[in-house]
Amino acid sequence: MSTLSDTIGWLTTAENWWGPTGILQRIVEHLQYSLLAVGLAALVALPLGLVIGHTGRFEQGSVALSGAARAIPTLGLLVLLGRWYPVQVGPVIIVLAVLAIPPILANTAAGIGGVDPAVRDAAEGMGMTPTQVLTRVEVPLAAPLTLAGIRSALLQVIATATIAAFAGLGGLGRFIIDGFAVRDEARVYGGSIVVAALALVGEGLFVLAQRSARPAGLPRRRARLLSTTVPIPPTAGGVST
Amino acid sequence: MKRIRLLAAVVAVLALVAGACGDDDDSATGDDAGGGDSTAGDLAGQSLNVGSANFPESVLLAEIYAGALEAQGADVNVTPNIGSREVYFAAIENGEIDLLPEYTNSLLSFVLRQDDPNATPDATNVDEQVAALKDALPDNLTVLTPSTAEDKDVIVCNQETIDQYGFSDLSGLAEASGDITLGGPPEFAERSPFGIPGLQQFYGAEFAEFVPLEIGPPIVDALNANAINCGNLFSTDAAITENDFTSLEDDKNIVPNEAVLPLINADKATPEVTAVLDDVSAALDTEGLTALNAQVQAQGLAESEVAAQWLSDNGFTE
Repeated sequence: MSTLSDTIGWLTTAENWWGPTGILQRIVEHLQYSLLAVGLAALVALPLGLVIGHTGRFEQGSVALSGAARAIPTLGLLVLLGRWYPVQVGPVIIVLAVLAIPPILANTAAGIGGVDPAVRDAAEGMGMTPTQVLTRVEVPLAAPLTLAGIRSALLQVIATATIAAFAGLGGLGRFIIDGFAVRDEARVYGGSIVVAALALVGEGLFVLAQRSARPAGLPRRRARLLSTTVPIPPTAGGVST
Repeated sequence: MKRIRLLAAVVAVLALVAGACGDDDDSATGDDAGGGDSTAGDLAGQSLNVGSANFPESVLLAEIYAGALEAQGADVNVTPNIGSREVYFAAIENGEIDLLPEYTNSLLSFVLRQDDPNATPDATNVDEQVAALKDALPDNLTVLTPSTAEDKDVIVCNQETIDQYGFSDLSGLAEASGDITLGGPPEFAERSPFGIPGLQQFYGAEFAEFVPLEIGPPIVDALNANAINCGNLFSTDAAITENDFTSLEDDKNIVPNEAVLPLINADKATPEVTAVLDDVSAALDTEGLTALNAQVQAQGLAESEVAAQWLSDNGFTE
Protein backbone atom coordinates (compact mmCIF):
# COMPACT_ATOMS: atom_id res chain seq x y z
CA MET A 1 0.00 0.00 0.00
CA SER A 2 2.79 2.39 0.90
CA THR A 3 4.55 1.39 -2.33
CA LEU A 4 1.50 2.53 -4.27
CA SER A 5 1.30 5.86 -2.48
CA ASP A 6 5.08 6.30 -2.78
CA THR A 7 4.82 5.67 -6.51
CA ILE A 8 2.00 8.15 -6.90
CA GLY A 9 4.03 10.59 -4.83
CA TRP A 10 7.04 10.12 -7.11
CA LEU A 11 4.95 10.64 -10.23
CA THR A 12 3.27 13.75 -8.87
CA THR A 13 6.42 15.47 -7.62
CA ALA A 14 7.15 18.34 -10.02
CA GLU A 15 10.92 18.24 -9.53
CA ASN A 16 11.00 14.64 -10.80
CA TRP A 17 9.67 15.88 -14.15
CA TRP A 18 11.99 18.77 -14.91
CA GLY A 19 15.73 19.16 -15.36
CA PRO A 20 18.43 17.25 -17.26
CA THR A 21 17.58 13.97 -15.53
CA GLY A 22 13.83 14.59 -15.19
CA ILE A 23 11.03 12.46 -16.59
CA LEU A 24 10.37 14.82 -19.54
CA GLN A 25 14.02 14.73 -20.64
CA ARG A 26 14.02 10.93 -20.31
CA ILE A 27 10.83 10.71 -22.40
CA VAL A 28 12.51 12.77 -25.14
CA GLU A 29 15.56 10.45 -25.08
CA HIS A 30 13.33 7.39 -25.00
CA LEU A 31 11.36 8.56 -28.04
CA GLN A 32 14.57 9.43 -29.87
CA TYR A 33 15.93 5.89 -29.48
CA SER A 34 12.54 4.35 -30.34
CA LEU A 35 11.82 6.43 -33.44
CA LEU A 36 15.37 6.08 -34.77
CA ALA A 37 15.13 2.32 -34.31
CA VAL A 38 11.71 1.96 -35.95
CA GLY A 39 12.83 4.31 -38.74
CA LEU A 40 15.91 2.18 -39.37
CA ALA A 41 13.80 -0.97 -39.27
CA ALA A 42 11.32 0.53 -41.76
CA LEU A 43 14.18 1.47 -44.12
CA VAL A 44 15.19 -2.17 -44.20
CA ALA A 45 11.86 -3.96 -43.90
CA LEU A 46 9.57 -1.89 -46.16
CA PRO A 47 11.52 -2.30 -49.46
CA LEU A 48 12.24 -5.92 -48.60
CA GLY A 49 8.59 -6.56 -47.82
CA LEU A 50 7.53 -4.90 -51.08
CA VAL A 51 9.86 -7.09 -53.14
CA ILE A 52 8.89 -10.28 -51.34
CA GLY A 53 5.17 -9.52 -51.48
CA HIS A 54 5.21 -8.35 -55.08
CA THR A 55 7.30 -11.16 -56.52
CA GLY A 56 6.02 -13.84 -54.19
CA ARG A 57 9.58 -15.14 -54.03
CA PHE A 58 11.48 -15.88 -50.81
CA GLU A 59 8.14 -15.72 -49.02
CA GLN A 60 8.63 -18.95 -47.06
CA GLY A 61 12.21 -18.09 -46.28
CA SER A 62 11.47 -14.55 -45.18
CA VAL A 63 8.64 -15.63 -42.92
CA ALA A 64 10.85 -18.25 -41.30
CA LEU A 65 13.76 -15.82 -41.01
CA SER A 66 11.70 -13.03 -39.51
CA GLY A 67 10.15 -15.51 -37.10
CA ALA A 68 13.62 -16.64 -36.07
CA ALA A 69 14.73 -13.00 -35.69
CA ARG A 70 12.08 -12.54 -33.01
CA ALA A 71 13.93 -15.12 -30.92
CA ILE A 72 17.10 -12.98 -30.76
CA PRO A 73 17.45 -11.87 -27.13
CA THR A 74 17.54 -8.08 -27.35
CA LEU A 75 19.49 -7.62 -24.13
CA GLY A 76 21.99 -10.31 -25.07
CA LEU A 77 22.63 -8.68 -28.42
CA LEU A 78 23.07 -5.31 -26.72
CA VAL A 79 25.63 -6.72 -24.28
CA LEU A 80 27.49 -8.28 -27.20
CA LEU A 81 27.57 -5.10 -29.33
CA GLY A 82 28.23 -2.99 -26.24
CA ARG A 83 31.52 -4.80 -25.72
CA TRP A 84 32.81 -3.30 -28.96
CA TYR A 85 31.04 0.06 -28.79
CA PRO A 86 30.55 0.85 -25.12
CA VAL A 87 28.33 3.78 -24.07
CA GLN A 88 27.26 4.53 -27.65
CA VAL A 89 23.78 4.93 -29.06
CA GLY A 90 24.49 2.84 -32.19
CA PRO A 91 24.20 -0.61 -30.57
CA VAL A 92 20.95 0.39 -28.86
CA ILE A 93 19.38 1.56 -32.13
CA ILE A 94 20.54 -1.59 -33.91
CA VAL A 95 19.19 -4.07 -31.35
CA LEU A 96 15.86 -2.25 -31.18
CA ALA A 97 15.68 -2.20 -34.99
CA VAL A 98 16.30 -5.95 -35.03
CA LEU A 99 13.28 -6.23 -32.77
CA ALA A 100 11.20 -4.01 -35.06
CA ILE A 101 12.07 -5.55 -38.43
CA PRO A 102 10.09 -8.84 -38.21
CA PRO A 103 6.59 -7.37 -37.67
CA ILE A 104 7.10 -4.68 -40.35
CA LEU A 105 8.57 -7.13 -42.86
CA ALA A 106 5.97 -9.82 -42.30
CA ASN A 107 3.01 -7.45 -42.48
CA THR A 108 4.28 -5.60 -45.55
CA ALA A 109 4.95 -8.82 -47.42
CA ALA A 110 1.58 -10.25 -46.39
CA GLY A 111 -0.20 -7.03 -47.30
CA ILE A 112 1.32 -6.80 -50.78
CA GLY A 113 1.19 -10.53 -51.38
CA GLY A 114 -2.43 -10.68 -50.23
CA VAL A 115 -3.72 -8.34 -52.91
CA ASP A 116 -6.19 -10.29 -55.05
CA PRO A 117 -4.61 -11.26 -58.38
CA ALA A 118 -7.87 -10.19 -59.98
CA VAL A 119 -7.24 -6.63 -58.79
CA ARG A 120 -3.75 -6.66 -60.29
CA ASP A 121 -5.09 -7.99 -63.56
CA ALA A 122 -7.77 -5.33 -63.60
CA ALA A 123 -5.17 -2.61 -63.00
CA GLU A 124 -3.04 -3.95 -65.81
CA GLY A 125 -6.13 -4.20 -68.00
CA MET A 126 -6.76 -0.52 -67.37
CA GLY A 127 -3.31 0.16 -68.86
CA MET A 128 -1.26 0.65 -65.69
CA THR A 129 2.50 0.04 -65.90
CA PRO A 130 3.98 -2.45 -63.40
CA THR A 131 5.27 0.51 -61.32
CA GLN A 132 1.81 2.04 -61.30
CA VAL A 133 0.29 -1.27 -60.24
CA LEU A 134 2.70 -1.36 -57.33
CA THR A 135 2.40 2.25 -56.21
CA ARG A 136 -1.27 2.92 -56.99
CA VAL A 137 -2.86 -0.44 -56.25
CA GLU A 138 -0.73 -2.76 -54.17
CA VAL A 139 0.86 -0.26 -51.78
CA PRO A 140 -2.43 1.53 -50.89
CA LEU A 141 -4.23 -1.77 -50.45
CA ALA A 142 -1.42 -3.08 -48.26
CA ALA A 143 -1.16 0.17 -46.26
CA PRO A 144 -3.44 -0.79 -43.36
CA LEU A 145 -1.56 -4.03 -42.76
CA THR A 146 1.84 -2.36 -43.21
CA LEU A 147 0.89 0.34 -40.72
CA ALA A 148 -0.35 -2.31 -38.31
CA GLY A 149 3.12 -3.86 -38.55
CA ILE A 150 4.85 -0.56 -37.84
CA ARG A 151 2.44 0.09 -34.98
CA SER A 152 3.16 -3.27 -33.42
CA ALA A 153 6.91 -2.67 -33.87
CA LEU A 154 6.71 0.77 -32.26
CA LEU A 155 4.79 -0.58 -29.28
CA GLN A 156 7.40 -3.29 -28.72
CA VAL A 157 10.31 -0.91 -29.21
CA ILE A 158 9.01 1.75 -26.81
CA ALA A 159 8.40 -0.90 -24.18
CA THR A 160 11.90 -2.35 -24.71
CA ALA A 161 13.93 0.84 -25.13
CA THR A 162 14.52 0.79 -21.36
CA ILE A 163 17.55 -1.37 -22.17
CA ALA A 164 19.40 1.76 -23.32
CA ALA A 165 20.03 2.35 -19.64
CA PHE A 166 22.00 -0.92 -19.47
CA ALA A 167 24.43 0.58 -21.96
CA GLY A 168 24.99 3.60 -19.72
CA LEU A 169 22.68 5.81 -21.80
CA GLY A 170 19.46 7.64 -20.94
CA GLY A 171 15.80 7.02 -21.62
CA LEU A 172 13.14 5.95 -19.15
CA GLY A 173 15.09 2.79 -18.28
CA ARG A 174 17.31 4.99 -16.09
CA PHE A 175 14.53 5.25 -13.50
CA ILE A 176 14.14 1.48 -13.40
CA ILE A 177 17.84 0.63 -13.21
CA ASP A 178 18.91 3.51 -10.96
CA GLY A 179 15.88 3.08 -8.74
CA PHE A 180 16.65 -0.61 -8.35
CA ALA A 181 20.31 0.11 -7.58
CA VAL A 182 19.38 2.32 -4.64
CA ARG A 183 16.31 0.26 -3.65
CA ASP A 184 13.95 3.14 -4.47
CA GLU A 185 10.85 1.18 -5.46
CA ALA A 186 8.72 4.25 -6.13
CA ARG A 187 11.16 5.29 -8.85
CA VAL A 188 11.21 1.78 -10.40
CA TYR A 189 7.42 1.51 -10.54
CA GLY A 190 6.91 5.16 -11.49
CA GLY A 191 9.38 4.82 -14.36
CA SER A 192 7.69 1.63 -15.53
CA ILE A 193 4.30 3.32 -15.51
CA VAL A 194 5.65 6.16 -17.65
CA VAL A 195 7.07 3.62 -20.13
CA ALA A 196 3.75 1.81 -20.39
CA ALA A 197 1.84 5.07 -20.77
CA LEU A 198 4.22 6.26 -23.47
CA ALA A 199 3.81 2.98 -25.39
CA LEU A 200 0.02 3.23 -25.18
CA VAL A 201 -0.01 6.87 -26.31
CA GLY A 202 2.18 5.88 -29.26
CA GLU A 203 -0.28 3.08 -30.01
CA GLY A 204 -3.23 5.49 -29.87
CA LEU A 205 -1.61 7.97 -32.23
CA PHE A 206 -0.95 5.15 -34.64
CA VAL A 207 -4.53 3.97 -34.64
CA LEU A 208 -5.48 7.46 -35.81
CA ALA A 209 -2.80 7.36 -38.50
CA GLN A 210 -4.02 3.96 -39.68
CA ARG A 211 -7.56 5.27 -40.07
CA SER A 212 -6.39 8.11 -42.26
CA ALA A 213 -4.34 5.66 -44.35
CA ARG A 214 -7.39 3.55 -45.08
CA PRO A 215 -7.91 3.32 -48.86
CA ALA A 216 -11.12 5.00 -50.01
CA GLY A 217 -12.56 1.72 -51.27
CA LEU A 218 -12.25 -0.12 -47.93
CA PRO A 219 -15.09 -0.32 -45.46
CA ARG A 220 -14.41 1.82 -42.42
CA ARG A 221 -14.28 -0.84 -39.76
CA ARG A 222 -12.19 -3.30 -41.70
CA ALA A 223 -9.15 -1.02 -41.83
CA ARG A 224 -8.72 -1.18 -38.11
CA LEU A 225 -8.53 -4.93 -37.98
CA LEU A 226 -5.20 -6.60 -37.50
CA SER A 227 -6.21 -9.41 -39.87
CA THR A 228 -3.45 -11.11 -41.78
CA THR A 229 -5.38 -11.02 -45.03
CA VAL A 230 -6.08 -7.85 -46.87
CA PRO A 231 -9.78 -7.15 -47.43
CA ILE A 232 -10.71 -7.06 -51.08
CA PRO A 233 -12.42 -3.88 -52.29
CA PRO A 234 -16.04 -4.58 -53.19
CA THR A 235 -15.48 -3.20 -56.68
CA ALA A 236 -12.82 -5.77 -57.49
CA GLY A 237 -15.08 -8.66 -58.38
CA GLY A 238 -16.71 -6.95 -61.34
CA VAL A 239 -13.49 -6.34 -63.29
CA SER A 240 -12.28 -9.89 -63.05
CA THR A 241 -10.81 -11.45 -66.17
CA MET B 1 7.45 -25.06 -8.47
CA LYS B 2 8.68 -27.85 -10.69
CA ARG B 3 11.23 -25.49 -12.16
CA ILE B 4 12.47 -24.46 -8.73
CA ARG B 5 12.91 -28.11 -7.77
CA LEU B 6 14.84 -28.78 -10.93
CA LEU B 7 17.04 -25.78 -10.25
CA ALA B 8 17.67 -26.95 -6.71
CA ALA B 9 18.60 -30.39 -8.02
CA VAL B 10 21.04 -28.90 -10.52
CA VAL B 11 22.61 -26.72 -7.84
CA ALA B 12 22.92 -29.70 -5.53
CA VAL B 13 24.61 -31.79 -8.22
CA LEU B 14 26.99 -28.95 -9.05
CA ALA B 15 27.82 -28.53 -5.37
CA LEU B 16 28.59 -32.25 -5.11
CA VAL B 17 30.81 -32.13 -8.18
CA ALA B 18 32.54 -28.99 -6.92
CA GLY B 19 32.99 -30.61 -3.50
CA ALA B 20 34.42 -33.73 -5.07
CA CYS B 21 36.86 -31.70 -7.13
CA GLY B 22 37.89 -29.82 -4.00
CA ASP B 23 38.61 -33.10 -2.21
CA ASP B 24 40.78 -34.31 -5.06
CA ASP B 25 42.78 -31.12 -5.02
CA ASP B 26 43.17 -31.28 -1.27
CA SER B 27 44.56 -34.79 -1.36
CA ALA B 28 46.95 -33.64 -4.06
CA THR B 29 48.29 -30.86 -1.86
CA GLY B 30 48.10 -33.27 1.07
CA ASP B 31 50.97 -35.26 -0.42
CA ASP B 32 53.19 -32.29 0.28
CA ALA B 33 51.95 -32.00 3.85
CA GLY B 34 54.44 -31.46 6.61
CA GLY B 35 56.87 -29.30 4.68
CA GLY B 36 57.37 -25.56 4.58
CA ASP B 37 59.15 -23.11 6.80
CA SER B 38 56.05 -22.04 8.69
CA THR B 39 56.63 -21.41 12.36
CA ALA B 40 53.47 -23.35 13.21
CA GLY B 41 53.61 -26.65 15.01
CA ASP B 42 52.17 -29.98 13.95
CA LEU B 43 48.43 -29.86 13.28
CA ALA B 44 47.96 -33.64 13.12
CA GLY B 45 44.62 -34.62 14.59
CA GLN B 46 43.00 -31.23 14.02
CA SER B 47 40.23 -31.12 11.45
CA LEU B 48 38.70 -28.06 9.79
CA ASN B 49 35.96 -27.47 7.25
CA VAL B 50 37.01 -24.53 5.10
CA GLY B 51 34.32 -22.74 3.08
CA SER B 52 34.17 -19.85 0.67
CA ALA B 53 31.77 -17.32 -0.82
CA ASN B 54 30.61 -17.74 -4.40
CA PHE B 55 33.24 -15.71 -6.23
CA PRO B 56 36.69 -16.74 -7.45
CA GLU B 57 38.81 -14.66 -5.06
CA SER B 58 37.04 -16.15 -2.05
CA VAL B 59 37.51 -19.68 -3.40
CA LEU B 60 41.18 -18.93 -4.01
CA LEU B 61 41.71 -17.66 -0.46
CA ALA B 62 39.88 -20.67 0.99
CA GLU B 63 42.16 -23.00 -1.00
CA ILE B 64 45.20 -21.09 0.29
CA TYR B 65 44.03 -21.37 3.92
CA ALA B 66 43.22 -25.04 3.43
CA GLY B 67 46.51 -25.85 1.71
CA ALA B 68 48.58 -24.10 4.37
CA LEU B 69 46.79 -25.92 7.20
CA GLU B 70 46.97 -29.25 5.41
CA ALA B 71 50.70 -28.81 4.88
CA GLN B 72 51.04 -28.79 8.66
CA GLY B 73 49.14 -32.03 9.00
CA ALA B 74 45.59 -30.83 9.61
CA ASP B 75 42.68 -32.82 8.20
CA VAL B 76 41.02 -30.26 5.90
CA ASN B 77 37.83 -30.37 3.89
CA VAL B 78 37.03 -27.54 1.44
CA THR B 79 33.50 -26.46 0.47
CA PRO B 80 33.93 -23.73 -2.14
CA ASN B 81 31.20 -21.47 -3.58
CA ILE B 82 28.74 -21.87 -0.71
CA GLY B 83 26.87 -18.73 -1.74
CA SER B 84 26.36 -15.17 -0.59
CA ARG B 85 27.30 -13.93 2.87
CA GLU B 86 23.75 -14.56 4.07
CA VAL B 87 24.17 -18.25 3.24
CA TYR B 88 27.72 -18.98 4.32
CA PHE B 89 27.52 -16.93 7.49
CA ALA B 90 24.65 -19.14 8.65
CA ALA B 91 26.80 -22.19 7.84
CA ILE B 92 29.78 -21.00 9.91
CA GLU B 93 27.54 -19.79 12.72
CA ASN B 94 25.96 -23.23 13.15
CA GLY B 95 29.29 -25.04 12.87
CA GLU B 96 28.96 -26.72 9.48
CA ILE B 97 31.94 -24.64 8.37
CA ASP B 98 34.90 -23.70 10.59
CA LEU B 99 36.88 -21.22 8.53
CA LEU B 100 36.15 -18.67 5.78
CA PRO B 101 38.06 -15.83 4.13
CA GLU B 102 36.34 -12.51 4.86
CA TYR B 103 36.67 -8.76 4.32
CA THR B 104 36.70 -6.37 7.28
CA ASN B 105 34.14 -3.71 6.35
CA SER B 106 31.71 -5.99 4.50
CA LEU B 107 31.68 -8.53 7.33
CA LEU B 108 31.33 -5.84 10.00
CA SER B 109 28.46 -4.16 8.10
CA PHE B 110 26.73 -7.53 7.76
CA VAL B 111 27.15 -8.51 11.42
CA LEU B 112 25.90 -5.11 12.63
CA ARG B 113 22.85 -5.37 10.37
CA GLN B 114 21.89 -8.65 12.04
CA ASP B 115 20.78 -6.63 15.08
CA ASP B 116 19.74 -3.40 13.40
CA PRO B 117 18.89 -3.33 9.67
CA ASN B 118 19.96 0.30 9.41
CA ALA B 119 23.26 0.00 11.29
CA THR B 120 26.44 1.11 9.55
CA PRO B 121 29.96 0.69 10.93
CA ASP B 122 31.68 3.65 12.62
CA ALA B 123 35.03 1.92 12.25
CA THR B 124 36.95 3.00 9.17
CA ASN B 125 40.50 1.71 9.58
CA VAL B 126 41.43 -1.96 9.86
CA ASP B 127 42.34 -1.92 13.57
CA GLU B 128 39.00 -0.36 14.54
CA GLN B 129 37.16 -2.76 12.26
CA VAL B 130 38.83 -5.84 13.79
CA ALA B 131 38.12 -4.59 17.32
CA ALA B 132 34.48 -3.91 16.37
CA LEU B 133 34.20 -7.34 14.74
CA LYS B 134 35.49 -9.16 17.83
CA ASP B 135 32.89 -7.25 19.79
CA ALA B 136 29.95 -7.79 17.43
CA LEU B 137 30.49 -11.39 16.24
CA PRO B 138 28.63 -14.22 17.96
CA ASP B 139 30.66 -15.78 20.80
CA ASN B 140 31.46 -18.93 18.82
CA LEU B 141 33.12 -16.94 16.01
CA THR B 142 36.21 -14.77 15.86
CA VAL B 143 38.52 -13.15 13.35
CA LEU B 144 42.30 -13.52 13.17
CA THR B 145 45.01 -11.04 12.21
CA PRO B 146 44.12 -9.30 8.91
CA SER B 147 46.40 -9.27 5.90
CA THR B 148 47.41 -6.12 4.07
CA ALA B 149 45.60 -7.50 1.00
CA GLU B 150 42.46 -5.49 0.37
CA ASP B 151 39.61 -5.89 -2.07
CA LYS B 152 37.81 -2.58 -1.86
CA ASP B 153 36.20 0.00 -4.12
CA VAL B 154 38.75 1.97 -6.08
CA ILE B 155 38.70 4.57 -8.86
CA VAL B 156 40.91 3.56 -11.77
CA CYS B 157 41.75 5.58 -14.89
CA ASN B 158 42.85 4.49 -18.34
CA GLN B 159 46.36 5.16 -19.56
CA GLU B 160 45.32 7.97 -21.94
CA THR B 161 43.79 9.92 -19.06
CA ILE B 162 46.80 9.40 -16.79
CA ASP B 163 49.17 10.44 -19.60
CA GLN B 164 47.18 13.61 -20.15
CA TYR B 165 46.56 14.71 -16.56
CA GLY B 166 49.23 12.86 -14.59
CA PHE B 167 47.30 12.54 -11.33
CA SER B 168 47.77 9.60 -8.97
CA ASP B 169 45.23 10.23 -6.23
CA LEU B 170 41.61 11.33 -5.85
CA SER B 171 42.65 14.90 -4.96
CA GLY B 172 44.42 15.13 -8.33
CA LEU B 173 41.37 13.65 -10.04
CA ALA B 174 39.15 16.24 -8.35
CA GLU B 175 41.29 19.10 -9.68
CA ALA B 176 40.84 17.83 -13.26
CA SER B 177 37.25 16.63 -12.68
CA GLY B 178 35.71 19.30 -14.93
CA ASP B 179 37.18 17.42 -17.91
CA ILE B 180 36.60 13.91 -16.61
CA THR B 181 33.86 11.46 -17.54
CA LEU B 182 33.47 8.99 -14.71
CA GLY B 183 31.84 5.55 -14.84
CA GLY B 184 30.37 3.76 -11.87
CA PRO B 185 27.39 1.66 -10.82
CA PRO B 186 24.07 3.54 -10.81
CA GLU B 187 24.05 3.88 -7.03
CA PHE B 188 27.41 5.68 -7.26
CA ALA B 189 25.57 8.78 -8.47
CA GLU B 190 23.71 9.06 -5.17
CA ARG B 191 25.99 7.44 -2.61
CA SER B 192 28.25 9.01 0.01
CA PRO B 193 31.04 8.98 1.01
CA PHE B 194 32.15 6.77 -1.92
CA GLY B 195 30.03 8.23 -4.69
CA ILE B 196 29.44 11.45 -6.58
CA PRO B 197 28.06 13.34 -3.54
CA GLY B 198 30.95 12.12 -1.35
CA LEU B 199 33.61 12.96 -3.93
CA GLN B 200 32.08 16.41 -4.17
CA GLN B 201 31.88 16.89 -0.42
CA PHE B 202 35.29 15.50 0.57
CA TYR B 203 37.38 16.20 -2.53
CA GLY B 204 35.50 19.07 -4.20
CA ALA B 205 35.11 17.10 -7.43
CA GLU B 206 32.59 18.25 -10.07
CA PHE B 207 32.69 15.74 -12.92
CA ALA B 208 31.91 16.66 -16.52
CA GLU B 209 29.73 13.59 -16.86
CA PHE B 210 28.77 10.45 -14.97
CA VAL B 211 28.00 7.27 -16.93
CA PRO B 212 26.12 4.58 -14.99
CA LEU B 213 27.66 1.16 -15.76
CA GLU B 214 27.98 -2.10 -13.87
CA ILE B 215 31.26 -2.78 -12.07
CA GLY B 216 33.27 -5.33 -14.04
CA PRO B 217 33.42 -5.88 -17.82
CA PRO B 218 31.10 -2.95 -18.76
CA ILE B 219 33.35 -0.44 -16.97
CA VAL B 220 36.52 -2.15 -18.24
CA ASP B 221 35.24 -2.01 -21.85
CA ALA B 222 34.21 1.63 -21.50
CA LEU B 223 37.65 2.52 -20.09
CA ASN B 224 39.40 0.71 -22.93
CA ALA B 225 37.25 2.51 -25.52
CA ASN B 226 37.94 5.79 -23.68
CA ALA B 227 34.17 6.28 -23.44
CA ILE B 228 34.92 7.06 -19.79
CA ASN B 229 38.21 8.39 -18.37
CA CYS B 230 37.95 6.78 -14.97
CA GLY B 231 35.68 4.26 -13.34
CA ASN B 232 34.85 2.31 -10.20
CA LEU B 233 36.34 -1.20 -9.96
CA PHE B 234 37.47 -3.45 -7.12
CA SER B 235 41.11 -3.13 -6.10
CA THR B 236 42.08 -6.76 -6.79
CA ASP B 237 40.37 -6.93 -10.21
CA ALA B 238 42.84 -8.51 -12.60
CA ALA B 239 41.56 -6.21 -15.36
CA ILE B 240 43.37 -3.30 -13.69
CA THR B 241 46.84 -4.68 -14.35
CA GLU B 242 45.88 -6.44 -17.60
CA ASN B 243 44.72 -3.18 -19.19
CA ASP B 244 47.34 -0.88 -17.64
CA PHE B 245 44.75 1.06 -15.66
CA THR B 246 46.00 3.16 -12.76
CA SER B 247 44.34 2.85 -9.34
CA LEU B 248 44.02 6.25 -7.70
CA GLU B 249 44.97 6.58 -4.05
CA ASP B 250 42.11 7.55 -1.75
CA ASP B 251 44.23 10.21 -0.01
CA LYS B 252 41.41 11.40 2.24
CA ASN B 253 40.34 7.88 3.21
CA ILE B 254 36.67 7.98 2.28
CA VAL B 255 36.54 4.30 1.27
CA PRO B 256 36.37 1.95 4.27
CA ASN B 257 39.13 -0.65 4.43
CA GLU B 258 38.32 -4.16 3.21
CA ALA B 259 41.28 -6.15 4.50
CA VAL B 260 41.23 -9.91 3.90
CA LEU B 261 41.15 -11.87 7.14
CA PRO B 262 40.11 -15.33 8.36
CA LEU B 263 36.72 -15.72 10.02
CA ILE B 264 36.98 -18.82 12.21
CA ASN B 265 35.08 -20.93 14.67
CA ALA B 266 36.57 -19.88 18.03
CA ASP B 267 37.01 -23.52 19.15
CA LYS B 268 39.09 -24.30 16.08
CA ALA B 269 41.34 -21.26 16.48
CA THR B 270 44.01 -23.11 18.42
CA PRO B 271 47.39 -21.39 18.79
CA GLU B 272 48.82 -23.71 16.10
CA VAL B 273 46.04 -23.00 13.57
CA THR B 274 46.21 -19.29 14.36
CA ALA B 275 49.96 -19.27 13.78
CA VAL B 276 49.60 -20.88 10.33
CA LEU B 277 46.82 -18.49 9.24
CA ASP B 278 48.77 -15.49 10.59
CA ASP B 279 51.70 -16.55 8.44
CA VAL B 280 49.40 -16.76 5.41
CA SER B 281 47.92 -13.32 6.09
CA ALA B 282 51.41 -11.85 6.50
CA ALA B 283 52.40 -13.20 3.08
CA LEU B 284 49.32 -11.84 1.25
CA ASP B 285 49.15 -8.33 -0.17
CA THR B 286 46.84 -6.55 -2.61
CA GLU B 287 49.21 -6.75 -5.58
CA GLY B 288 49.87 -10.41 -4.97
CA LEU B 289 46.19 -11.19 -4.65
CA THR B 290 45.46 -9.24 -7.85
CA ALA B 291 48.09 -11.31 -9.67
CA LEU B 292 46.51 -14.52 -8.33
CA ASN B 293 43.08 -13.34 -9.49
CA ALA B 294 44.57 -12.67 -12.93
CA GLN B 295 45.71 -16.28 -13.15
CA VAL B 296 42.17 -17.45 -12.40
CA GLN B 297 40.26 -14.88 -14.47
CA ALA B 298 42.55 -14.34 -17.45
CA GLN B 299 44.43 -17.63 -17.71
CA GLY B 300 41.52 -19.78 -16.64
CA LEU B 301 43.51 -21.77 -14.09
CA ALA B 302 41.65 -23.53 -11.28
CA GLU B 303 41.68 -21.70 -7.94
CA SER B 304 43.15 -24.79 -6.23
CA GLU B 305 45.97 -24.91 -8.77
CA VAL B 306 46.81 -21.21 -8.32
CA ALA B 307 46.60 -21.60 -4.54
CA ALA B 308 48.96 -24.62 -4.59
CA GLN B 309 51.52 -22.70 -6.63
CA TRP B 310 51.32 -19.69 -4.28
CA LEU B 311 51.74 -21.92 -1.21
CA SER B 312 54.78 -23.52 -2.77
CA ASP B 313 56.27 -20.17 -3.86
CA ASN B 314 55.83 -18.76 -0.36
CA GLY B 315 57.30 -21.74 1.46
CA PHE B 316 54.11 -23.15 2.94
CA THR B 317 54.53 -26.37 1.00
CA GLU B 318 57.59 -27.89 -0.62
